[in-house]
Amino acid sequence: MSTFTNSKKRFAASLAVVALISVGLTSIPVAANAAPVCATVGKVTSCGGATTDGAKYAIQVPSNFNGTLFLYSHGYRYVMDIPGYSTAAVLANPIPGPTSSDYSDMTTIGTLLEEGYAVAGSTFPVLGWNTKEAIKTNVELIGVVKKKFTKTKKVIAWGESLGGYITQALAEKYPKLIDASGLMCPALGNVAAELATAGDFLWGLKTLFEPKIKGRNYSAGIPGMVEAGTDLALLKALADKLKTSIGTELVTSAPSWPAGAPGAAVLGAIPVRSVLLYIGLMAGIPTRSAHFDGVSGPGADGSSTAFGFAAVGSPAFAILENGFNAAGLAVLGTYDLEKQSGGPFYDNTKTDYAKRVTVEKSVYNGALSGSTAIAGIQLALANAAFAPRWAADPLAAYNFSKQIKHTGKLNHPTVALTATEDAIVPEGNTQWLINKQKTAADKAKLLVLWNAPADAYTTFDATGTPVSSTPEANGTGHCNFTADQYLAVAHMLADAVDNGGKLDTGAFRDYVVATTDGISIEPRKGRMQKFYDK
Amino acid sequence: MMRFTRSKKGMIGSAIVAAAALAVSALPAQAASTETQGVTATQITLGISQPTNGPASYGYNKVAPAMDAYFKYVNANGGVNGRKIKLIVKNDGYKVTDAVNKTVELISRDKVFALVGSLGTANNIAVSNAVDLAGQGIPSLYVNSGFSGFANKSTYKTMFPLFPTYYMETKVLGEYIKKNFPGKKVGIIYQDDDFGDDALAGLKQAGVTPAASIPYASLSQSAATAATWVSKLKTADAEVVIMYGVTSAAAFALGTAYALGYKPQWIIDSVGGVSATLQLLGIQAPLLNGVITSSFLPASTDTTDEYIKLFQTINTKYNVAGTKFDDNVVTGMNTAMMTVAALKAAGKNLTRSGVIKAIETKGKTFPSASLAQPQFSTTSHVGYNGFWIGTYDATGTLKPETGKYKIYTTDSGSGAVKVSTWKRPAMPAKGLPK
Repeated sequence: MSTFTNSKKRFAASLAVVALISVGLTSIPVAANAAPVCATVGKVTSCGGATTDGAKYAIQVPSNFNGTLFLYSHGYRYVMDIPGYSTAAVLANPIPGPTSSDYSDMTTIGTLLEEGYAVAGSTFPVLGWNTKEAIKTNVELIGVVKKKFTKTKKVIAWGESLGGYITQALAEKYPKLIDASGLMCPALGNVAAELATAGDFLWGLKTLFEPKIKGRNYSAGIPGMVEAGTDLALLKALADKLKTSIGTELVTSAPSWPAGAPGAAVLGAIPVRSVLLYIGLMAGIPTRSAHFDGVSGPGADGSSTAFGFAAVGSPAFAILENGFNAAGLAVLGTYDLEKQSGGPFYDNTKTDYAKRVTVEKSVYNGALSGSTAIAGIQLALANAAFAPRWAADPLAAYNFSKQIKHTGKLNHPTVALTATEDAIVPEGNTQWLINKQKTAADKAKLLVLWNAPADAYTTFDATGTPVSSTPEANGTGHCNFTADQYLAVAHMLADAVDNGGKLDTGAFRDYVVATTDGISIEPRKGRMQKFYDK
Repeated sequence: MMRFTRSKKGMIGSAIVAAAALAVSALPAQAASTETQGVTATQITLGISQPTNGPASYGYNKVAPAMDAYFKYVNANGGVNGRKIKLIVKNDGYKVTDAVNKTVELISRDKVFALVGSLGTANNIAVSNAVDLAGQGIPSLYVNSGFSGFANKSTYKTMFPLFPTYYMETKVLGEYIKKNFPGKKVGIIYQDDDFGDDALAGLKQAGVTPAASIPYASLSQSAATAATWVSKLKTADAEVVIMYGVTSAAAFALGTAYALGYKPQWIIDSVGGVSATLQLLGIQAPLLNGVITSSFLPASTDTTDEYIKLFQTINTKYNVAGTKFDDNVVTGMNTAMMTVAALKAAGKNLTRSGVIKAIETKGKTFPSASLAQPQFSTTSHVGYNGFWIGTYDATGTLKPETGKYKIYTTDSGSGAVKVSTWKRPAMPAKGLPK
């Protein structure tokens, strides 16, 4: 007798994980361009190999295999090794399912195996933005699994971040190959939407705070890598300066611009916290982050100190934390896709940044230091002499536009797991997919599990300084999910494929939601990415 | 080993049933029931998000308890079409993020039928967008803001502002200044956001050009910033000063000006000019002597007014023990009365769309303490449309300019300011909407 209670899952995981950690990461046999090489340890058969494009793969099948495979697509992997930002070499190992960020927690994979599901995943043949290549690898990998394990009848594709993008693209292009899709912290729609957020934020930082940032148009080869690495160092240093500035401003109530910031000459009377907040808002970066909740402040609840920090300090710190946590992807993603496109593709020459904050300038008016300050920032950013825009290379922009995009069509049951305060892939990606479902039949194919953080989670030390060394709050960060949350996706999809491709809308769904901490299916309207504000 | 499939559901059925009791608060709203969410055969659940503590709570923290007191009075008199009203109050501390969080809780966890009396322009804009009130068809009744944008029915389909707009208010005050202080130099201190921008536009429409126009960013008000305001006003020789901000800003302005010996003719808006709240913030009543302000409700001290008399009785019997009766209490009870009127007008088969339709089609005739008429219609969500003007005496009591209420009405556009001929109908029996 078994149920899917938390205690059961923990029990199952404790049995399976011990074996899987050693099997999953270090002992899967490798056989390039050949049939998979397999070994059975305990109740799990683990196979390794490589697809014809050279991607390494891992397949794990339990002895009680029920015929359903979970095909996993991992997220974006940086194209170069930069200490502190990128560990591409380490990440070349194939992972057959979601794990914790340090790969120490294999609970999700272990639980699925224990429940009788097979799991598989690959490295893909190339790093970086690789949708086209990943689809090809996944198609071949499905064939490998079906050939080796003929009991395989159903395929559930699922993936995280870029892996979500790959999964949706795979589902749209090969609807008959898979039976259901799981999209976790997914990028969706158009990669341009993601890169526009990065470009807008980098442009704003360069224009107002750090002119040495290159931000785009990186050189080819090693020089380009050096330029990107230099940008990352500049951004790290800038983050430290801005943190100091904001902290000082909250104490003195006077603007405190970092030395050398171009914005000081024209916006020096406006606090740095307000200007940074504006840049974040125009780029579409969430105002709640891993350690800043927008509601907490030092001192007693209801005190002026607590209120002031929550209202004007927390949003700025959240932009700082979210924006700079995404800096790695912003710089290295831009470098990667410029390389693929043949030059700079980002273009903000026609972007109306003022229009982008139509709502936000009302909502965050006080934190932005008022309408007069907002108008001043907008005037500065619209001044071509002070704030020259970045124009794309036409050919590169054309090439970039050929990156695979989604139509949003759902051919089978799809479950999305989306953090409302995702710093890197904003919830607007998922909202885009929601908006694409026009008919009742289409809407019935999509279930979105929203992962919102707790109302309050910012902590302060004895001096009243916010603490940022604690783990990221669930619902913030990027793909910062618990094993239970991943399993909620898996269980909803598994249920659907066993029941004629219909997502449950009754007691089963409600049970899964109610017994999984941190998720809900409340109808909500996610903030669309600013890219779509034409 | 069991699989996690539908066939297993029967086997885990008991677990689901058991968990359902625990999980009821997290269960999603069902599309079919959203129209009647929060309505049972015996109860209607409403929700309000507002500050109940913190620096922005002064005065406002009396509104929700006053609403609740009126609802209790109604419940004691049979309820609304046989249903009792339950009001759930959430403290958002007047923080935007918390306002969104608390509203989500009210809708998804507490399953309220409608929001009522939610406070603040920025907070209501944030909530409307983040929670998608219009898309979900959730009524937001009588928001506590005079932002003219909320009357835009195409953007805020389910929202009904009650107060006359800030734009209307400065149009009225502007005309008053032109008539009563001709030739005087005018200064204005205003909150530099939608609230103040609305007011500035109204003043411009009235044809008043300030000699000094001083914006302050919301949340920046302090004694130090108030000193800079006074300095600028003095430099401009402003003789008549409009203070268009929240009460904390008005308190800093009055207190600092007094300390610095600056004595213009103060005119404070209806938001910031509430005597009881200013006194809570440290402005002694004598300092208010001669300060002009505007209102659309009868003064809480006017015991000749039948609504005020009723509200005083309800306050004594049903409000939190010891609650001092003031203008904030009147605001809360009037909002509650308008709510009851809407719920009754929507009929026994209460639905969200039904209550919206009831306000649009019948809201103009709902009983209310207001001395200006509600303007709700199928094409407009504008609430009240006028103000009377009064002057505080040395006890902090607001006296109408000519000894009795003269209502000036206008719109949020270029329409003229006129003296209203509308007469408020007699209060329904026992103050219970029919």
